[in-house]
Amino acid sequence: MPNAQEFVRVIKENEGIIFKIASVYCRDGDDQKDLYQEIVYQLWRSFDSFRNESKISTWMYRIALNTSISHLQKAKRRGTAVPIDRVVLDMMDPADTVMEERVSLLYAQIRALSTVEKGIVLLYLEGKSYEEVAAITGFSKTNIGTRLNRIKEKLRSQIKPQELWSLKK
Amino acid sequence: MKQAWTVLSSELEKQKKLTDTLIMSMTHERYKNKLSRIRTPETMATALSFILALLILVNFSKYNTIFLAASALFAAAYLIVMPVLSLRLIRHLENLDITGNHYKQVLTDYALRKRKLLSFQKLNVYLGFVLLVVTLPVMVRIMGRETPIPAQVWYWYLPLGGVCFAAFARGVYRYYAGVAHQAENLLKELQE
Repeated sequence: MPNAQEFVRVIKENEGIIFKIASVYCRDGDDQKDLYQEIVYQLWRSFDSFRNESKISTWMYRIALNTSISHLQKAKRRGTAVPIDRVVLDMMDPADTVMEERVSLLYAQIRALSTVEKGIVLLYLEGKSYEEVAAITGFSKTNIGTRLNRIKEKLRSQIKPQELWSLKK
Repeated sequence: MKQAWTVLSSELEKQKKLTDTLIMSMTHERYKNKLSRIRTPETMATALSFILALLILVNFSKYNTIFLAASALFAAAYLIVMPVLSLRLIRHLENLDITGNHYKQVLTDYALRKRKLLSFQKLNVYLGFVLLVVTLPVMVRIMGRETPIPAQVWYWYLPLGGVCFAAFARGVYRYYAGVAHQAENLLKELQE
């Protein structure tokens, strides 16, 4: 049985990771909540097997990204979920509408990418090195570089000039 | 974009919302959801298929021609084997090894299993048409009516069944083609 206290501490320290991944892989609020909880559950299930062989965040990214893939299939087969108030998932200060607009734009651009690209770009945006991204995703370091260049080109062509200006503000 | 993401991340860091109770109740609720699978539509449909198969087999003595006996055996076999295989493939697709594998491997497994499930479901649709044809004489026999079924019945049953089946199969084919295309694209992208 995993150590519940330790698990709770790890989740609370890294809840932002789970939130960002759920937001990238799901557009719909209910789907986001469902994925969010599924990620927490899968982390709990595999907590015992985490043997400090990597950083805790690396392990969390791997489980969370993998859970998001399996959620692609399950999206419409929801069971009951713990009622998390919108306030938990609305983790931005609601008064900051400019930031909210930038965040929405950011997520929209990333969601438009393919499933493969989403995982890679998310890790890149999280500040992971090519080596770390390769370690989490299983792609080679060279492959990560090539794919990231393609993703950047794709995002440049996706984002309209006024949206790009908005992101740079 | 990276700048905007960094600002987003630092804002999230300031707003820790999860409580201990909420975290643990998430794990318990998900566990209960897994157990509730026994009430999913596929499992209920499988149970119904088994009941129908049993009904067909229990009345086996009534099928007094080779055609009827063969039709009954086909129908019973279809109603037993196909739902079981379908459930197995669906569960196989859902039970990806999330903890042991990398993102790339999980994606590959997902695409390959999805492709397998789609191929099976296409076969299921085609065999379903055969079931549509053989079920009528078998059910007529079970209800105690005489066979052969008058030709007039076939004159409306087959065309009507065929039209309904064709409309259903067309919709199903379009859906499968779209999803299969996604799975193939995913596999191609992974191999680049």
